[in-house]
Amino acid sequence: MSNTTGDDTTDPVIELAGIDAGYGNTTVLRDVSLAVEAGEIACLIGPNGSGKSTLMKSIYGFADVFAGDVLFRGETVTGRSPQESLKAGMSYVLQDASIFPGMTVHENMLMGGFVFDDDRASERASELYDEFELLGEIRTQRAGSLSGGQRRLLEFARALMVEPDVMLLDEPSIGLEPRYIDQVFDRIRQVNELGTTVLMVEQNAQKGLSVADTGFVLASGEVKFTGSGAELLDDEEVGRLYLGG
Amino acid sequence: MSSVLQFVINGLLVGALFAATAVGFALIWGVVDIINLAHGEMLMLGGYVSYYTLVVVTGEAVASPALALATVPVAIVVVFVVGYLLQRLLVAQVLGTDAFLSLLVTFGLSIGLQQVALKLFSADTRRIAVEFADPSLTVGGFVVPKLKLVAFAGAIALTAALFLFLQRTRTGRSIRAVAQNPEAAALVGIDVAHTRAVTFGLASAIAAGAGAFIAMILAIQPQMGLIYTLKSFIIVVFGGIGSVPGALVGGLLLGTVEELVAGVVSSRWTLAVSFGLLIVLLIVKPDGLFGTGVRE
Repeated sequence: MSNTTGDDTTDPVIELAGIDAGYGNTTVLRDVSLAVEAGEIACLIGPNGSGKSTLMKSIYGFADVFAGDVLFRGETVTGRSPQESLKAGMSYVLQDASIFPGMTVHENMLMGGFVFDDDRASERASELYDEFELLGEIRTQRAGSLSGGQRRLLEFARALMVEPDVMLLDEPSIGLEPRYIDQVFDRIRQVNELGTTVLMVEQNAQKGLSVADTGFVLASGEVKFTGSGAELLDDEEVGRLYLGG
Repeated sequence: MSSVLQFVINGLLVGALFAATAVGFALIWGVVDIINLAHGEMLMLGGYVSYYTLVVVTGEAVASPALALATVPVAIVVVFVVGYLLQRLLVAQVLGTDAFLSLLVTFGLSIGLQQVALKLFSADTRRIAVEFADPSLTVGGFVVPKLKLVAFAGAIALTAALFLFLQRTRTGRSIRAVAQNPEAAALVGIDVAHTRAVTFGLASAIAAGAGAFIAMILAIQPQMGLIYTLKSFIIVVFGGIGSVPGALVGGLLLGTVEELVAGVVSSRWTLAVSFGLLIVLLIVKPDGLFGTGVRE
């Protein structure tokens, strides 16, 4: 494990090279560097307000990058729009509710495949209903009437509509009842085993690091520690400062 | 009693035009998240585009019903482009800032368009004279002016077309998505800025279509827009923000109330009664008749 930001990984699919990022005139991240390798699960932990969501938004194109570079598969994509990120093979599940409440579950799924034509989107939705049977059963229900767990499942499944190479998950377990949390992490592992690289932010740091190949600790807008999930879980300083023990 | 029913018929016929105008106002409010105080000017522009298309093509403002109707699509297309560009170049610059700023910008736009229209077209009223061999139908003892019936059908068709467009097309789905959750819409690959501009263009185009019909059944002049913006506001509050069916019902009802008041009491009381109803409605049912509409 290292307490620097450098990481001698090979073949990173996502790389941040000394980025300063934020919104408008506000800088949230300062000189942040990290690399996520293809095929791994990476987890970003840190206290509230440390800039975790801003980091994810910098990668996808929702935040402003003031300095440094964002690289995707070795290509500089700094300042790319969310549409371009999606088309390049990235999908993102926001921390905040991102369903369309006035549409049905099925319409929400189709919106996840908006970059496809309607036939292909319907076909892909049907495939996902085989994997997410509950969503298939409630496909005609208005999304605004779903429980928190069902909404999170819908957001997760919708992000899979584009068969992404990389998934960005912001707090996948937030607001979920304990019985749903394990299901969500099981799904994350399944998706990763099928070849999708996952970068997630997780407030439940123990849980997030337990499934992660690589972990990053972000504090005050800077990466303080980098290591494998297991290493970070075992590290005394990380445990004392960021894992509540 | 029969005269009251005659007022109701007249009100419904005119109310459909109010509804078509208000539908666009509601759409902009729901999707772009601004109250467009220049919406009535889009209606005014539509009327002038229709009028001058006819004058340029035929050399006079007199036309057969078919020829007059042929000017409506021209007004719709031209004002769609105007609306799209106004949103992209002007309104988009103040989106996400103080709501007061967007009100100020659209108010300024309203005044600016009125002044341009005064300069270009003068303050004189204009009207397309549509020639019917027999201008009225008599059904069950009630008189139905054919031209108003055509305008009614046109306004209902415009409203229905917009509703179907929103429900059935890919662009319609993206408009509904932006109305319900703009960030999620960007997340799934929708170009939110373009979608908002298309919405502004569509709303302006529907108003322009209504304006073209108004040029046939009433008259147009540069400062006519404000009253239609105000009526749209009442209708949208009544029907529920962003609700197309709500705006349709609200428009028909407002038209009926105004005709009844004008016929039974005095035309001087129509606006007072309309705004009185608005105040009562805001107290009794502030969400409007159709509740949340497309905006959640």
